[in-house]
Amino acid sequence: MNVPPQPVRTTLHIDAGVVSAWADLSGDHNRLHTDPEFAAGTRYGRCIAHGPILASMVGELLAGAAGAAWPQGARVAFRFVAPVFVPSTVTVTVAVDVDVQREDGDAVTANVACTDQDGTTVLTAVATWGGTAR
Amino acid sequence: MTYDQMTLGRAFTPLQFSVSQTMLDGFAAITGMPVSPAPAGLLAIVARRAYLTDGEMPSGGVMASLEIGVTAPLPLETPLLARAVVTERQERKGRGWVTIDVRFSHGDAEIATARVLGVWPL
Repeated sequence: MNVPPQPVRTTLHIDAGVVSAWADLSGDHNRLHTDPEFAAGTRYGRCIAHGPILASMVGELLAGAAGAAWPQGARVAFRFVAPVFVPSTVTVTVAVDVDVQREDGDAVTANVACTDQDGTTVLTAVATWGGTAR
Repeated sequence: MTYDQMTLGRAFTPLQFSVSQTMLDGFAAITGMPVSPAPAGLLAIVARRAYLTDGEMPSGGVMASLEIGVTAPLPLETPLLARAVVTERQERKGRGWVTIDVRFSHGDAEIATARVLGVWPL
C-alpha cells in the first residue's frame, strides 16, 4: 500500500488569470467567477473561484498518494464549505487518518483540509481507496 | 435552466465527450499538478457539463458538494458518455438545492460516477 508521508501540503495562488484559464478549460463562464461587477451584486459581493479548481488539486494529490489503487475504486467526497475569493492563496493539507490491515486488504482513508490566507477552511474532502473501497 | 426546470427524475441529454491530451495539459498547467489516469477535477468538469446539455445554469449558481468514484482509468481520445439525472431537490435558505447523479461509461462499462449538489438561485 502506497501511503503518503503525513501531512502532504501544497499551495495554489488563485487569481483572475487562473479563474479565466479554468473558465476556458471547463466551459464554465458563470459571471460569478469572472465578472466583478456582476459578482458585486450577489450574496458573495466579489468574484469567487470555481470549486473544481481546488477539487482538481486535491484529487491529484490523492491520486498521487494512492498510486495504482486510485483508478481501481477510489472515492472522494468534496464539500465546498466557504467561497474562495479572487485572489486567494489556498493551502491544501492531506493527512492519512486510517491505514488498517483488513481481510479484504489494506484500506486508506485520507482527510483533506484547504484553508485560505486568513485561515478560513474553504474546502474539505474525505477519500478512501483500497480494501472495500473498491 | 431554472430551478423549476430541475424536476425530480429529469434525465438530461447524454453528453458524448473524450479526454484529449490538450485538455490534460491545460488542466496540469492551471493546477501545477501531474495528471492521474482518472483526474477527479476533470470528472468534475465533465459532470457539470453533463447536466448542462439542455441549457445553462443561471449566473449565481454554485456547487456545494461533489462526490466522485472511479473504477477505471479514463482512456484518452476515446468516445465516452456521461448521463445525468436529478435525484433530489429542495428549497432551503431561499435557494434551490439540486442533487444530480452522473454515470460515466466507456461502451457498456461504467468507469466513474459523480454526485453533484448544486445550489440554484430562486
